Amino acid sequence: MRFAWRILAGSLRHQHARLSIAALAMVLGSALVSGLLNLSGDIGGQVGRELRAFGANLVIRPREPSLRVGSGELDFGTVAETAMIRESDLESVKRVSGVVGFVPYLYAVVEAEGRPAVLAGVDVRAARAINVWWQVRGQWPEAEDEILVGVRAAAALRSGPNGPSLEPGDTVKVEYRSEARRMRVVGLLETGGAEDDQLVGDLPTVQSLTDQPGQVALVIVSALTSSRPLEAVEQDLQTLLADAEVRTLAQFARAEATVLNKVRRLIGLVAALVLTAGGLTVAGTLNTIVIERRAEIGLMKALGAADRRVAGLFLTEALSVGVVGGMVGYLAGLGLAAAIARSVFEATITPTAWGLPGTMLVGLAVTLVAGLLPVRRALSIDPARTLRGE
Amino acid sequence: MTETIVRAVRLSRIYSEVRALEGVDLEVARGEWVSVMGPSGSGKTTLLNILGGLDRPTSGRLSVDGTDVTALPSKELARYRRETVGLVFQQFHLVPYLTALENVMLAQYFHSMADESEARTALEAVGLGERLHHLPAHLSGGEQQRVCIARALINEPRLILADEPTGNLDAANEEIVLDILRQLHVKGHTLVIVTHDARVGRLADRLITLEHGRVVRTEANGHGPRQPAEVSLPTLIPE
Repeated sequence: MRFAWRILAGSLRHQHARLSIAALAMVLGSALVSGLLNLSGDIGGQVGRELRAFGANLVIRPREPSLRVGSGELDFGTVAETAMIRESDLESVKRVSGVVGFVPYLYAVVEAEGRPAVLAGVDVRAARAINVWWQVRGQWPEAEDEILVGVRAAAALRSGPNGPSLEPGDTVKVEYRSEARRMRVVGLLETGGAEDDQLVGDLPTVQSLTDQPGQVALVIVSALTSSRPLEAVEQDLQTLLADAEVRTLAQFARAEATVLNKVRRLIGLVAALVLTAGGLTVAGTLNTIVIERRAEIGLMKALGAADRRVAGLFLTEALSVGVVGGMVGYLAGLGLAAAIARSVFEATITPTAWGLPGTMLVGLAVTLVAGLLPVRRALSIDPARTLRGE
Repeated sequence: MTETIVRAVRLSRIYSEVRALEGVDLEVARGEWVSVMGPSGSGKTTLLNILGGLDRPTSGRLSVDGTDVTALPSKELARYRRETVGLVFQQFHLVPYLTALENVMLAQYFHSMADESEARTALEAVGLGERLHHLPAHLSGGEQQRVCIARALINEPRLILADEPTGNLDAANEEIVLDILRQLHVKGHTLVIVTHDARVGRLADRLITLEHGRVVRTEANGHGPRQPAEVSLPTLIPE
């Protein structure tokens, strides 16, 4: 066995120029495979985080007991009892694998400056982290009785038909049943959604105004789907919160899955093409080497070398190209992935655990397959003819 | 009574239209040195290739040391080449990236297991003890041929086949190689040597002349096959 290594070392030294070309092709192929493997391992998270910018993908609502009412043949519809979710029940939501965060909401219909308006109470810190598309001009509420006013609500609540819109610094009189408070507008909120018509305050403020301590009406949840399907997260949440109803926001979930699948398919396709090109280069180089070394192969066969020994020598050479190409390519690919992650996702990348074994395995498989045809050619060499110089 | 090691019966080799060998009968006794001469294209190398298991006859039978070589499948024919015959080439055919020592070890590696000390001894026996680690490109023609001979002998073959072993050598190196062949013969090795050199022909026990693929003449040189002598390889070092 030791002598086989001496033959291999001598042969690699002798053929180093040609084998370097094959190794370079494998370095390029492996670098892309390694880069793509590392990216695809992390890209789910990256894309997921990017998509999180467009909002949550799960919603938790309380189950509302309802009763159909009617008289005779007349159906008056359903009468529902307003149900709530206990805030304390939400502690366990954070521990569900995949959940990034959640925003609890409580709504109250109030009179603002004598006009009906919706006051939404949210966990301000969570909303800032998850509802990243919320644009606030001014400050976020920090103290009790500080509120945001939606841009359309700010115009609707002006003091007269030609009066100025509400601006940060103004105060608004908010009445809920017998309770009346003056609230200071600290910022104007623009979301492009229903919040533009609402007043938004901190959750405890709204809970105390409506006398519903520890209660929330709705929770939106943001979950990453790169590590596990959204349906699994939904299932876990449903199990935890038996009295509530958990639903996926299908639009986002579908968009996320589609984008991820497309990215992965693209990665797979590029990797396959690059490896095919690398494999063809290796096959071509080994083929040339076999042609150039016909006399040597003929001699080996004349000395009685078994086919498996001749095949072993050439396949080991091919595999050594794969090992060198795979190792160097893996490191180059890691750098490539880091550069892509930095420039495209503005993030750092964590090397995937199976990046190195995956790259090596793919590199070795490609060189092995690429070596099969040249080896077959080597085995078909007629020693008598080649030793005659034909 | 001498034992026959090679028995060829009506050997023919036809390449498309060319009859390279036609109905050749040949018997070689153990320890005998047979030289084969003849003009170019007379079938000498074809005969040697068939004896060496590098080629198969179109018809006829060849038996070497009791083995019907013509009936061997490819795998067994490769085994026959590595275990029964030792080949010496006019062009030496050394692997260019292996040292003299490694070129000899290559034959051991294909035979069973490379043994550096045995290979070293074989090279010392042909006077190359100082050139063990030289690449073929750094050896003279005569030295390369001696490496080739050491490689042919390393697995102790029963039949040594040489194709123009002195054809590419100057007079001094030719003398060294002939001396080695003579000593091999003295020790009882069986040699079949194809040559154009009348001197080499005269050294043999028997000279066979081929023309147009047929044996046209067989001459005995009067000094019959040698009995094996108890001589070890190192004594082969030329004076």
